[in-house]
Amino acid sequence: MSTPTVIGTHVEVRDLVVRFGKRTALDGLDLTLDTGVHGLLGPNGAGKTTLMRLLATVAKPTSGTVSLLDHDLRDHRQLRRVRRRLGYLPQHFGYYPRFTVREFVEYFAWLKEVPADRVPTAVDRAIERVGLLDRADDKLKKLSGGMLRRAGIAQAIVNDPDILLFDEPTAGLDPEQRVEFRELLRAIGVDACVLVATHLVEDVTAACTDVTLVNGGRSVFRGTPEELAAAADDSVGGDSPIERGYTTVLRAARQG
Amino acid sequence: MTWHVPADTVRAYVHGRIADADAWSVEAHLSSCEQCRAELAAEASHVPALMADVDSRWSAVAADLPAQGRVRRGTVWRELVVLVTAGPAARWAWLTASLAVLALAAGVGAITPMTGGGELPLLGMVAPLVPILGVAASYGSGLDDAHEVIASTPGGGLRLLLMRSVTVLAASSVIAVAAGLFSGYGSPVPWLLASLALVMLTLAFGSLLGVGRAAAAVGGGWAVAVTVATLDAPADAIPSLLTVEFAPVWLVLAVVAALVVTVRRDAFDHIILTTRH
Repeated sequence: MSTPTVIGTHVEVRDLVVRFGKRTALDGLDLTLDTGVHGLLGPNGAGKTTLMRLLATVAKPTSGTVSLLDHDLRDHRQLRRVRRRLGYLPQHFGYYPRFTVREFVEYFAWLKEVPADRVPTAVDRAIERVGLLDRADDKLKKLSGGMLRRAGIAQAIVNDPDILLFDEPTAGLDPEQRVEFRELLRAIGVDACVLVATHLVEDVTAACTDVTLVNGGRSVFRGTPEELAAAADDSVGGDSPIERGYTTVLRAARQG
Repeated sequence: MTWHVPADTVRAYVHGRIADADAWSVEAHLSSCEQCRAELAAEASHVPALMADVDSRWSAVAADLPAQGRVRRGTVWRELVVLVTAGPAARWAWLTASLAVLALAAGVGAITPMTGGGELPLLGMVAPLVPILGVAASYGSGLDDAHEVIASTPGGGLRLLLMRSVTVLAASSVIAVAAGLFSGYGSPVPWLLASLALVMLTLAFGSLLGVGRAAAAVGGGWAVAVTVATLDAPADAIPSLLTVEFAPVWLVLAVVAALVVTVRRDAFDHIILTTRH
């Protein structure tokens, strides 16, 4: 059984700035997230991936603060404690072709310092949750793109994380797998803070309890998918209310 | 969710002093409310008997699961094997490469003795380089496809790097000593110290540049130094860098580099951004 989960804020980001040379990727972003499934929408280059990398503790901000599970990431020990409670699936994740699914997931279970006696169960449970148990002993190079993505998801959830970060997780999944993935998101979101960066508006509508829209390195909208749909101006194009809402908010942000 | 289980009720539930109907409604609420689950867990953690019960039941469930496929038991040894052998040069590829390089160097050195009273000590020149390349191949973040995920894990920083460095150093030392004895090439102690110092220097520079670049820099530096030393004393079979007299210098270098790594250990907590935009 897992230890008592944290009470308090899962993700708290204040005035975050990230610059790469002259380019500003994040420009004073604020974000507070608790349990639930949160969507992170925005056009390409809006800063979604940079934000995900910061929340995954992979990179450090130029200025501003990131606090995860009420821990200060600048402190080495607190950082380690947070990392044990973190799951991360980057947009492009590397894998080792000669590893089996089980070995791949096991590798990350050890890296995340899952207690030794729980590793085998945790690994199989994660593989089962993504529906890959029948392929658990197949080498990764034999899997299709969608299956690889699911192996990546299994790796992210193997430690039952309190904070789970998915960057474009549905890329390569077929429609049926997408539906299953959203169900998995909802199940995990009961206990944990799940952040899904995507450019697929329908993922957000189906699975997310709320949406944050980023543009130009800032948060320009925060609300439920319904609220985003309600923001729609009928004159803009789009196939669904939420798409129209997305375009409306984005255009307003660009003009403002 | 606006309503939560009152603290009294949580306490009553934990201590089993609650009516069945109330317990059911608490359980129904718990299945959908993390906050109350957390409070319940916090309350229950004060009751050792309950925690012991939960632990033993969990162990029973875990022990009873049917074996599926090739499940390995979770042991410290298994952890070590997984963490050391996983990587871009996974499954001992670097070890094979090291063997090949050393065999080649020993072979060339033995077959083509240099004129002028000495021979080019190719093996001695190459051997200390092998561990650095091994470290770079088994850890260098730019070479590892999964480095992005690994960098987000608690075990992925200096700990993993040191684990792999020690393994690489141990394995290549064994090979180097064997090759040295086989080719009848002097005492192995200076090389081993040189190898150790070069690996530690790679780690020390790695805290600034990233391990891949540091390995290239240190390897290049070694090549230049050993070439100069050989040109300096062409008649000498052993370059001065690898003589017993020079060994204390390597030892000091290794210690200094180790201190640098200790002081700068937090630098391995994050990916060192040098090339990413």
